[in-house]
Amino acid sequence: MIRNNVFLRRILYNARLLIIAITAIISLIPVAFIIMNSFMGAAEAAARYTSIVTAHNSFGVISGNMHYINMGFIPELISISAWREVLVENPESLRFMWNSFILTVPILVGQLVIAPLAAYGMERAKSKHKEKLFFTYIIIMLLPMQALLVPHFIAANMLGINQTYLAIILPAIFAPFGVFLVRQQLKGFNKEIIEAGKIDGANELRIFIRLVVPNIKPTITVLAVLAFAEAWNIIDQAVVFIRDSFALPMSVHLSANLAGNMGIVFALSTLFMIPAMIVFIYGQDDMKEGLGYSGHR
Amino acid sequence: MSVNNKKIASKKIALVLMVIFITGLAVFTIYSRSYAQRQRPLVNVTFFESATLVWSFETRSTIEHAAPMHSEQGAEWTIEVYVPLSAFENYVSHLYTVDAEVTADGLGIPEELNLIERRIIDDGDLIYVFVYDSIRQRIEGTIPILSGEGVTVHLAHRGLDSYDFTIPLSAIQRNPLTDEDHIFTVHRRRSAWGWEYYVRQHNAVFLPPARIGDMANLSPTFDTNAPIAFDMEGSLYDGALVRLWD
Repeated sequence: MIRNNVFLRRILYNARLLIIAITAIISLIPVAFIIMNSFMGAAEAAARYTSIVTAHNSFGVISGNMHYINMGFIPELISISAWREVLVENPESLRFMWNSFILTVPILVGQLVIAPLAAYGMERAKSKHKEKLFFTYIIIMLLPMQALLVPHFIAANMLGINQTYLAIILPAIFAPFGVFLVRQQLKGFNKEIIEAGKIDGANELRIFIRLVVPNIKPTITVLAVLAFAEAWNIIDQAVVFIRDSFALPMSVHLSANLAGNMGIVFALSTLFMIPAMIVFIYGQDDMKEGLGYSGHR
Repeated sequence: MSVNNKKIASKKIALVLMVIFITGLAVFTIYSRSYAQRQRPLVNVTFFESATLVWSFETRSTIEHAAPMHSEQGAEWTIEVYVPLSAFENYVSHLYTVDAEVTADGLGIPEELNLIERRIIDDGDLIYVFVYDSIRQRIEGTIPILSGEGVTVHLAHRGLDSYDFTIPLSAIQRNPLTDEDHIFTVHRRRSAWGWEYYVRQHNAVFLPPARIGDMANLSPTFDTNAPIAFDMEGSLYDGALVRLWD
């Protein structure tokens, strides 16, 4: 009945659109809030977010102090003082952005090189133990990262790279998730393309670079987006492995400075969001494609 | 636009945006570092120095024949020099030795004098009495000195005390509200972009004589090996960030 009734189908379609739009708006509200509040002046930010209010009970006796927050979506006075402080007057903030890039880029590049190669090797290997190895990969992938921190710390100590970025970058480069993701894509890969390459005399590496990679680019793009998001938001490993406060990435610096000038925190948060948004713009089509294929399977 | 073209377009847009972002970040990083440096006052750095008190005075007097010839070749002549105490600028109690030179009008060349007496007369002025030994002058066969001849006397005073903790006067900063004098020691610490310099404020405690020429005589109330800021560009405060002259 619904299928034949065009009017009802249109209503249902619009209702679905409305629900999706509302959900999208709700999920975008925090982002918009941060961006709008980054244009708040220092005085207004302090008045709104760092006020301490003395609470009285019903007998008029002071019962404690409360941190009072008066959230405002749109600032009363638009000001670029926070942006000026972040971009011009206080060069320290930008150091933490560069620290995030220094951590993220090697992890991203390393994962994009290691994970597809490892997945291809695992898929092409003719070994009866490869499924057991892959199962081990899945187990490690499912372990919480905090459980792996202690072994990572011990290994970093043994290698002498403790309190350096390498202690974070090396384990992240060899993370199993990327291998898992690419191998799942390679399972459905057309083997005849590989056979054709072999017939033409190409070796495994050439086949991988010339035939396999161009066909799994969407998966590699998805891996890049997810690896970037994970590395860009790194906190636990940075807190454990980095002792120098000036070498911390922005993700840690932001959380450590919430008690400061909130206008600056909002401006830094906005700045911190921009690279992640750009990476998502880069990979959004491939991510949609990947989700679509997974739906068909 | 086909799906593939859309994908390529969005990837290109993302790449361009990322390049713009990283370039902008680099530009702002470089500019903000130099801006922050320019905002910091320039200071010069020195350390405590030892100083001795030296003070000079030139005046006119006359030479008088004081004693008979003690040998066939010489005679003693005296020169009395009046120095008003006001000319000493409060240094008189800290000055102990006097070197003097006299240039007689007739001779025109300076000769050294020996101080035999220094006394304060009733109106507070100092009188120095010098002995002028003319033996050498006779030997060299120069023009004999006449009693009452005018002389130019150059006095150089030295203090026997050495003052071990002196710094340039420009290192002293006076608080206009409290009229307190402060000096600032320069320290170094790590910052996000390498090293930065900051100052620590200390009260300036003067010892007499408080001033020795262009130097201030202080009592050391902090680490005497710490570098001290002087010739500051602008007022400093405790913990202020500064930059040093290259």
